[in-house]
Amino acid sequence: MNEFAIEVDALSQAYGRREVLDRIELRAGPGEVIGLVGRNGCGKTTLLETLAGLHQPSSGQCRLLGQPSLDMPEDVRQQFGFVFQEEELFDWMVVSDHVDLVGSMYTNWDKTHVRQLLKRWRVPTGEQVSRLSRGQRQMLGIILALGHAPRVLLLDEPASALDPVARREFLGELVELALDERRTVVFSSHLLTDVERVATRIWLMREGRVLLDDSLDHLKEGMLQLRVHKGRQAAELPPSLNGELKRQQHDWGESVLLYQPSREEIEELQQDLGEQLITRNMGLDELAVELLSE
Amino acid sequence: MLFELETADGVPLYRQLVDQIRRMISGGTLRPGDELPSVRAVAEHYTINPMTVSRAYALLEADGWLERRRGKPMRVIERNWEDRQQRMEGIHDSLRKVVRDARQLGLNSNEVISALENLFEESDQ
Repeated sequence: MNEFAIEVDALSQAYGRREVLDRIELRAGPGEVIGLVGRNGCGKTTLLETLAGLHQPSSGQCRLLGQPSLDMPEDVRQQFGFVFQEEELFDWMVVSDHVDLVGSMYTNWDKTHVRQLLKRWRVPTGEQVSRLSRGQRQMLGIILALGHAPRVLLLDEPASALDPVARREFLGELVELALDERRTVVFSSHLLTDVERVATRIWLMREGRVLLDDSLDHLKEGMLQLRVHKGRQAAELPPSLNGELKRQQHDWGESVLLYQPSREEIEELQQDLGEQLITRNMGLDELAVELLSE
Repeated sequence: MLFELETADGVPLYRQLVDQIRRMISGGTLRPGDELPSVRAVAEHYTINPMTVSRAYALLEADGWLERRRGKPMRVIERNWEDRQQRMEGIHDSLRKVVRDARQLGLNSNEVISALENLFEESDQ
């Protein structure tokens, strides 16, 4: 058995001249819940769809549970689940029939759990799929992907149409999945406080490339923002600092984002600049804005 | 539940858990022999990844605050809580932060200490 649930090697995808994915290298092991973060159009959806074997890559390859995504054998398919943004549901079917149809494709379908979820999330089982609200469609999509308790689960903005209560319930299901340490989940989301709750690792994408692949804790602990306020006296940061990622000038002064800065250097600065220097750690939301904005 | 977790904070969730549990033990909210909620219970209650909770518990175990027993909940370790040095450890990080903030605000130690003394007096009343 392979130790990685997901392997992406030198994956590139181009549509015409447009490079959507550019030499992506990624690994995910069992027990990891990965938050895939990036701006719209950065390639998140293409990456997830290619992982699911829906596109033939221009070069490179993806493997799920040690097998190539493009040619997924039946035993891997049985352990794999996905929810895509444009959930491919059959609009003409009644919800309960749709659930039964999908259930019939999996040997380990958990009917009881599915019934509980449909009830708890108030998805009307007697309704025709076309009459569901956007949120209800999304919930149905998630339930259909969870029904066979997949070992590898890919979710593309699964909670974008859910209200805050439903989102929390959905996250609760992810926590349940994560309690079994053999599972791997990748989910893309713009709701970064959700990602902070359940993700162990972050894949941050920008313009078709993976800008950052780090554990969430490590990322939060490693990133430090310095701010120097122009006060009565002129105060300036040195022209370059250890671990410097980004420097910005503001009306009020200067800010610098550092990754794994040198402690000694920071302490020296604190001595020199006193009250004019502010050091702060940032939540994921702020970090993403810092790293993804121009 | 006991804890107060802030997801959008710059401090990782496991670190928030570690700090709070240490403070609770030092402060006596958690007493030697008290059992902690299971990893599952904490993860489900706060909707956070179970690994975050087990990481916090493992660190507290390594630092000698908690003990793990087979098939049973984690427990606050029996030790000599009269040792003031150990109790000081529980507040050290908070104090360090106060010092840092004070420096950034250009306050000196006398000013901060007298503010602290005032707060102690207030909380005695």
